[in-house]
Amino acid sequence: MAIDWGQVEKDAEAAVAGVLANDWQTVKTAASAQLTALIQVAQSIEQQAQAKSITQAEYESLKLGQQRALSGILHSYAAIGIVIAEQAAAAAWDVVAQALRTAYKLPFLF
Amino acid sequence: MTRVYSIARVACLMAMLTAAGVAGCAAPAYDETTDKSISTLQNDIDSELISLASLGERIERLRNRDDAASKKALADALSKASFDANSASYDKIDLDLTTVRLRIDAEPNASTENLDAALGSLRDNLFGEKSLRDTHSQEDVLHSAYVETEKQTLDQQLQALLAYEIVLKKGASSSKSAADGSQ
Repeated sequence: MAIDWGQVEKDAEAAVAGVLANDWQTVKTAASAQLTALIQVAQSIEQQAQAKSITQAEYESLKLGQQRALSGILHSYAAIGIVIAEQAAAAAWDVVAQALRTAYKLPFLF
Repeated sequence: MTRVYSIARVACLMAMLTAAGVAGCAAPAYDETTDKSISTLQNDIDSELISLASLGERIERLRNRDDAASKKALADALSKASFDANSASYDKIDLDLTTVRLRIDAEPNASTENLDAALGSLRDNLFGEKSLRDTHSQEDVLHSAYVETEKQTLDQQLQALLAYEIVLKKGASSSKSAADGSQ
């Protein structure tokens, strides 16, 4: 089943906005650009999943790398603490993982 | 891809500069040594990742061949792609990163905290839990697609640092031009 990445990006943005609440408007520009980059990495993971050329360790590394990059950008704003930034990044990836989980039966996504 | 990362890095840069402005401190000064140190770091990371991706592609291609020459080439590529064969490169990158961090921390200014956070995040992705090195150590040989995707993330983080230095450099050039013009 093909993944609608445009919808996934919107859902991920909504998830981040939900965690950040009023601070979302402050970081929207930077966070949206980073979310687009995160979705591109997720699409690359999808291609690797189709080719069966990704291991659990590699997936976990890519996932955590993107979460760190997103939380780093969010935390660079004074109003957002590291815990909230990490929660927001995790919420974004949960949306991505759900999409991959639905489309591909990679054992480590469950 | 590049355009999106450019937007992201400029947005990150704006956050760094805004933080410096809000703090009400003097604008950070351009430091050529820091600039060169970041470039060295980027070159070493890129060289390592390009090499690993190339070896990964060669391994994936050779795995399907049965002739003796291909088997020998595969063994050679597997050896070069192994974690042990690359541990010295990781040590060099670690040293590069420490050099940049020390240089930035030696002359603290309003942006140091944000730069340290950016470097910390980069270090986590290179050497922390489930990082590039951690994954390489665990898997011994990495898939080329993984390396290329990991490179996207690391480049994005490095470009934010380089963009910051470019802005400082332009500011330094403008100040010098203004000073020369007033003489």
